[in-house]
Formats: sequence, structure tokens, C-alpha cells
Amino acid sequence: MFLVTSNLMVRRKKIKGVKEMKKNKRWLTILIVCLFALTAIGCSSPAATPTEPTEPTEPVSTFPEKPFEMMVPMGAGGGSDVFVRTLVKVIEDNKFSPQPIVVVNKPGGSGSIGWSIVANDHAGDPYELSTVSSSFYTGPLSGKSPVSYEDFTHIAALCVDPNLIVVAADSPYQTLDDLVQDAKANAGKVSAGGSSGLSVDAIIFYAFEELAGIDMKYVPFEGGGEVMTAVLGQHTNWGILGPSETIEQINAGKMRALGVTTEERLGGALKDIPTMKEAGYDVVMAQTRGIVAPGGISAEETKYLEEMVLKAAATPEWKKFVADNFMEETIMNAEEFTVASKRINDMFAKYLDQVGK
Amino acid sequence: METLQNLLFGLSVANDPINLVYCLVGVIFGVIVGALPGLGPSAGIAVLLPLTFGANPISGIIMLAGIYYGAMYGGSITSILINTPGDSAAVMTTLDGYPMAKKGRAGQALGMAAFASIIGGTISVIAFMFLAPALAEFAIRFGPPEYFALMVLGLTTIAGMTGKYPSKGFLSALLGLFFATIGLDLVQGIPRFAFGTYHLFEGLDFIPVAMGLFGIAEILTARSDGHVIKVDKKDVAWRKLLPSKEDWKNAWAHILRSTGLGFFIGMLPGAGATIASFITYGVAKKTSKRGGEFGTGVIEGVAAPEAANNSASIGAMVPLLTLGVPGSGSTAIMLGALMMFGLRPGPLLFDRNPDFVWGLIGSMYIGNIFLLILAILAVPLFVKILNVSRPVLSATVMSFILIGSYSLNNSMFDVGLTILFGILGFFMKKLDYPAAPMVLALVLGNILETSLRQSIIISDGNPFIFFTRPISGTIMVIAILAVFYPLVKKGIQHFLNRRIAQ
Amino acid sequence: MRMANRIASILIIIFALIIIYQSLQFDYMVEGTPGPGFLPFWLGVFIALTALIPLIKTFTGFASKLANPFKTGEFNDFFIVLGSATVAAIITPITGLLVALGLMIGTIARLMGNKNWKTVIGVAVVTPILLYTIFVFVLAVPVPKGIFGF
Repeated sequence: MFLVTSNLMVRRKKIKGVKEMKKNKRWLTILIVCLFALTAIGCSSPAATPTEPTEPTEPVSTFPEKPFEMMVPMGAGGGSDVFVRTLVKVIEDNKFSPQPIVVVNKPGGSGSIGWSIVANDHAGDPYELSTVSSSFYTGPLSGKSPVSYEDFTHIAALCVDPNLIVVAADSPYQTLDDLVQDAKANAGKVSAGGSSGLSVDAIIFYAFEELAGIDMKYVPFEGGGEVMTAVLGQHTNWGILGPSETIEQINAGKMRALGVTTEERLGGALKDIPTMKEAGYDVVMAQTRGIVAPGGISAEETKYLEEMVLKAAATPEWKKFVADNFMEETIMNAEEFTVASKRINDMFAKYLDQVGK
Repeated sequence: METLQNLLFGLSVANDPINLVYCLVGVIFGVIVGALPGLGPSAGIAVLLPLTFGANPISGIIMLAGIYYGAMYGGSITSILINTPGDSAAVMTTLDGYPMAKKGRAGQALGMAAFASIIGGTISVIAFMFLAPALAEFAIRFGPPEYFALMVLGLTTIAGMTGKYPSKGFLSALLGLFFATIGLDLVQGIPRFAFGTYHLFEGLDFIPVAMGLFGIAEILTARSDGHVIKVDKKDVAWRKLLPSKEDWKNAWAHILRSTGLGFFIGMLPGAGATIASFITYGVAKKTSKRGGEFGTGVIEGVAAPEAANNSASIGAMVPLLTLGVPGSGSTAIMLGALMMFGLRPGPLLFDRNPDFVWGLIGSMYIGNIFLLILAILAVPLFVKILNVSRPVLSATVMSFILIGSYSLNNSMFDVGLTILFGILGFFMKKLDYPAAPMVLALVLGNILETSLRQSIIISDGNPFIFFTRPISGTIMVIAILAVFYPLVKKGIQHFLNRRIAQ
Repeated sequence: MRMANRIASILIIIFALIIIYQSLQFDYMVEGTPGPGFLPFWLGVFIALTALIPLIKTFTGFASKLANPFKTGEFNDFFIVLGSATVAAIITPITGLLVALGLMIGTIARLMGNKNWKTVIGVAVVTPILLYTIFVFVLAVPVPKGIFGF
């Protein structure tokens, strides 16, 4: 492989009119080193070699007979991407799938581009999988995505990403009640930072405002990193962030979490944080993470994929990932996930109406 | 003393043969993706990310960091040789780099870009090593009003890029600011000027605009403008290709200043290498004795943004590692990688994973040395690209631009967009509308509007928030001085001349 | 040059008026803070005003002294390059991106004046292979495939 590519390179250079090539053997050497490095990368990159030899394990059914593609409609390195890549790694390490799974990122339009490709261009194709996040629901609800949850076959949901109400360490707020008291005393003055104006964060904010009967201001930022800076630098009085983003700041004593948006308290280092519910503000809202396929795939295919994902979810590696990232494990099979998806969608629809967007 | 001990430990970690290989592969790959039009460091990091899963975290992050700063140098290669910025941080390098190539000084420009990059990178690693935790405390003091002030300061550098007709330069910038408003509105989430296509919901990407306005426009006009760049065989010798003593005399102060500024701006989440290169180019033009010649191929116009973008890429490691806050698309992907390794960046990372942090620091010293060797060895090779016949070069570059724009989102939409901006770029060039202000405004415009609206929400509608906060107030005053000082100076000179004449 | 500048200014002003009209569809202020229509509105206004300066200059005689940049032949490369690029984009769904780019490279190289068929065909064949190596093989970019399977 390596020889072929370097030959090509040399031929190309000749055609380009560089005739001093022979004199400068050094350049050739460098070129070869570069190419060797590149080829080495190419060889060991799993994405670049999709047709690894696989032994057929299920002779009864022919499905799956070709590699799967797992479409992440967000950029590499984000929450959805880490979730999907970790899951795929667990599936492949344990050989739960006889065929390789190729992860493809297709960011754009808050996921709507990737999801519309999966649902529209691959309708009925069980080899094109994807994942969900909050914009899976908010996108179509606000008319920004052509495909909704109803255009997908739900395979399984694995966990939810909770959210925390956080303040900087030297903030006067020790509890959610302190925050509410201050917001009552200074109506319209207390500010909160969250990711984007149309997100789970925004909905948590408005739900909290409504349930506590207070008036605050919501400052939208582009992503958790900016919210973190705003909270740490006290540019906003409090903020909404995920546990895995904040855990190190909390451990280092730079940040304090006042509440969590889950039904039950989180485990581990975050077990002392009260839920918003027990503090008297019934805000339970978290981002469900799961796997979906295009609509119109057969029941057997759904069953097969569901089993594959649920097997991975039962492994210790996966459980460790969920615990390490302070996600809440909520395993749902295809049927439960379909029902839950409708419920999540209705909840988003209700709040989006209230937010007025 | 403790720092030095740590550094020695870090160097020993980085010197592990496997880590050296990862570092070298990262740097080489970084230079290549940086040089390819359309592919920037974030694309490179995203592509090699899966490969690092098999490696141990230290090797993985060493490679990803290598791609990052390697790409910062790589971007300058195509900027200088074919006027096509390889990534957004290299746009400023085209302004003086390409004119230098046209004058037959491509080698000096490439050489200076390499030295400036490496000096900037190395000084920044030293700063990072001694000051990282303290600097992180300062970085979080930048809230929305401070970002707004910084963007205003960045916009003042447009005054230095307007070319022959200031009104056309400002028009170009205003149109760029308008293009920045395309996409979903951050506060209300409604699409603006998206022409009904969800491809534009996340805004107009910088890459198709820059490749269209610079790369394609250059291909379309080069022949009729009579630019023929020929490199004499005798000139392709190292001594002739590297910057001369005089070049160094002109550039060194700018390299140091840009390194400091670049490191600082790179440290601010959201600002990053691109904005660092813009602002330092403006500062270099203001402080250079031959500021008026900027844009015609002066060496400090290449040295300043190149030193800045490399030091900014190291500066971006400060919030990434000490706060867990990614400052740019590239560092966001690196954060994802760290989390997949099971490492959680934050204030405790330095204490808890010293081998990781100091191994990375050690590798950045070694990586910069690799980069230097690589760059110097490769300069004569790169310069030879200019000897390729014009039709063949145009055709090949065009194909790279188109496939590069496709790979941005894996979508033909961006290819069409790039061609569209190529058409716009052609007419702008013919009618003397400079392209740089438009690109600059596009990059700054997004943060400008967002931070303006965030600040006004925070201040309850009081626009004076930008002046009453110490940091933003200081930056605003500098920005105002930058605009009015030349006018005042001219006025005083005019007045004095009149007095003398009388 | 004078006419070209005049047309450009007028086009920009029309564009600015469209921006202003469009931005009025969005909220200008929301609860005392700038809304989504705020910045676009003022940008539209400033673009229109700034575009008046080069427009006025075309009447003061200054700009007319400059040479016309749109002489015959100036558009040759424009049509060759953008024409073949557009055709390449259109045929991509049929031929695949790499084949389309290969054809584009050959066309551009030939029409821009390379008379040596060997070079033209060589570049048109080798460059897509290089692109394949870099973008598909190494970078794993899923480029559109055509009827040839690549």
C-alpha cells in the first residue's frame, strides 16, 4: 500500500514539472517519511477500513449482511459524539455485532441535516442508525427540522444527561432557597446563563421561574464552555450546566451545585446535591440519550438492533462510562423508548409554547 | 525550581519513542491538513480522533496537540503560495505573504512564517508552563462586555485593510457583518436570512467564504492581471530562501509582541487563533515604521499573524486544561477526546495527572523542534509548486478547493456556496473592493452581536456597561484611540505644517 | 469602470434595502434589549449609506479616469473555471465527485491554455487519485459516489 502511494506521489511531481527530484534525494526521503506516517494512520484508522473480515455468527438470519453506519448529526467530540463512539466501541470490543459499525459525523442545522438524511434518504434502511438529543424534538417543533421523532424507529434508550443549577464558590447562594429569596427581593435582576435560547437549559430556566413564582433574566450562551466561564467569572448569578462539565470545578471548590434536575439524586461525588424536586421546585428535565433507526424497518431488524444495544448497555464498561460521566441510567427497550419519545416531545411542545417561540 | 523538575519529568515522558512517533505524526499531519484548503485543525483532529482511542491518553493528546499547532503553520503555506488560506487563522498571512511570493520572495515568506510560528509556539509553551493556573483566573474575568470590546478592537483593524478606497473597504466589512447574522438567532432561535434552507441555520461558514473570495477569485483573475510567478532554479537554495538579516531586523519585535498578544487572545474561550491573527496584524501595521506598505509584501505582515496563531493555539490549552473550557472548535474536540480517555480537565488536573500535563508540555517543546526541521527542509519543495504551469496549477487548486469545501460538512451545498463566493470575489477584485475586511467582519460579527445582546441583557438595557467595567472599558478606550489617533496625528501635523508655512 | 462602479453601488443599495425590509420582520427590541432584527436593520442602513459614496464618486469624474477592468477576454477564465466547476457539481450525482473533478481539471487545464494533451490527461487522472488518497483513504470523507462505484 505504502509503495503504491509513494509512486503516485513521485509521478505527480514529475508531471507537475519538477525535474530536480532526482538530484534532491533528500526530498524524496522526507516525502516517503511523510507518506509512511500517513499510510500508517490510514491503515490503523478503523473508519478508513470498513471491510474488516468478520465471521458470520447468525446463520439463521442474513441480517446484518453489511457494515452499519452510525450517523452523529453533531460535530466530533460533543456529548452525542462521545456517547455514540463509546457505545460503538463497547459493541465492537465485545463483538455484539458481526458487522463493523462506522461512525460518521454530519453536523449542521442543530442536527436537522443529519437526521433528515437518516429519516428521508434512508427510510427503511436498517443499516443507517443515529442518536437523539434535545434538538431531535425541539428542531421539528419549532419548524426548523423537516423530520420529527415519528419518522424514526426507536431502538433503545440508555441514559439521561442531567443538569445542575450551579453558582461560583463565592456566590452568596448556598441553597436554591437563597437564590429564590434573592430573585424575589430583586425582581428581574438575577441572571442565569445557559446554552442557547432554545434548549433544555432554557426550558429548565423558564420552568424554575414559573414554579418559584420569580422573575429572572436568561442569558443564552453558545455552549457549556461559555456558560462555565460566565458562572466562574460571575458574569451571571447562576448557570445551568451538566455534571461532567462541572465535576472538576466542584471538586476543586470553585463551584457549588444547588440542585439537580433528575427524579432521584445522583450518585458518587454528587450525592449531596438535592434534587430540585425535593427543594420544592418540581423541575425534572434531562436529555435522553438513545439509538434510533429510520422509519419503516422490519420488526425482526428492530429486535436485532435492540438486543445488540441492550447487550452493550449491560456490560461493565458501559456502566462505568455512565457512572463516570454522571449520567442517570434509564434503560428502555424499543417499545418503552417509543412511548417515552412521545412523552418527551409533548413536554417540549408544552414548554416551547410557553416560551413563545 | 519545581517547574523545572516537572519539565524534565515531562520531557522524559515525551521522549518515550512511542510518544515521539505520535508527536511527529501529529505535526506532519497537522501541517498537511493545515495546508489543504478547507481543512483546518479541527477537521484534522476529528479525523485522527478514533485512532487515539487505542493509544494511551498521553500519546493521544500529544498527537492531537501536534496536529493543532502543526496546522497553524501549515495554513500559511497555501496562503503564501496560491493566495488560498488553508484555514481561517491563515487569512491574514495572505495579505502580505502572497504579495511577497509575487515579488519572488515566497521562500523568505515561508521561512519567516515557520520561524515566527515556532518562536511564538515555544515562548507560549514557557508562558503556559509557569503561568497557566494564574492566567486561567484572568481568562474567566472576560464576560460578554469584554468580548464585545475585544471584537470592536478587532474591527478597528479593518481601517488598515481598506486599500485604495476606504468607502469600499468599509462596505466590504459591513456586508461581512451582515453575512455573520445569517443563521439561527441565538436568543430566540429563529432563522434569519437563511433562505429557507437548514444548511444555513448554523450560519455562513467562514471556509467557503474565504476560499471563494481569496482562492477562486485569484484563479479567475490571475491570468488577466498578468501575474506570472517564476522561481529561478538558482534561487531554490536554502540560504536564499530563508529570511535575511534585514528581514529579521524588521520582524523580530513584531514576533515577540504578537506572541504575547496571541497567547492572551487564544486563552479567551471563543476568541481563538483567527481573531488573534487579525488583531496582531492590525497592531503590527499600527506599530511598524512602514505601516503604509502593509499589504504590498512586507515581512512583518507575515511574521505577526503567524506568531500569533501558533501562540494562540498554545494559549487555548490554558482554559482547556485548567478549566475544562474549550476555546475553539479544535479544543472542543480535544476535550471530548480527553473525556473519552477518562481524564477530566479542571483545576485539579495538574495535581492529579502530572505525567499527563507535563508530558504534554514536554511534547510541545519537542513538537516545535520537529516543526522547525520539517518547515526548513520543506521550504524549497513548496516553493517549486510555483513552477507548475498556470493552467495545471489553477485546475488542481480548484479541485482541492471544491473537495475541501465538500468535506467541511460532507455536503454539496458548501461546494455551491464556495463557487458563489468565488463569483462575488471576482467582481470585488475587479472593482477594487478588498476581500479581507469582509472575511474579518464575518468572523468577528457573530461574537460581536451575541456579546452585545448578552451584555445588554445583563446590564438591564444600559449600554454604558462596556465602559464602566475595567477590562472592557480599557479595551474600548484602546479601540477608540486606534481609530482616532491617526486622524488626530494628521490634524496636528497639518496644523504644524501650516504654522511653518506661515 | 464608471458604469461598473455605478451598477455595483446600485446593486448593493438594493441589497441593503432588502436587508432592511427583511430585518423589520424580526423583533427590533425584546424586553428592552436588542432583538434579532436590531443589528441587521442598522447594518442595512449603514450599507446603503456607505454605498452612496462610491456611487456619488462616479458622477464627480474621479473614477472614470481608471481603466475598465472588464475588457474583452477578462471573462474567459471566469467562464472556463466556474463553468466547469458548476458542470462538475451538477454531474456529481451521476459520475461521483472524483470523476467530476477529474473532468473539471482536464477541461480547465486544456481551456486555460495547456496544449499538451499528455499533461492535461495526466493531471486529470492523477489528481483525483491523489484526492482519493488524501480525502477518502486517509481522512475518511464520504465523498459522493457515482455509477462507477467510486
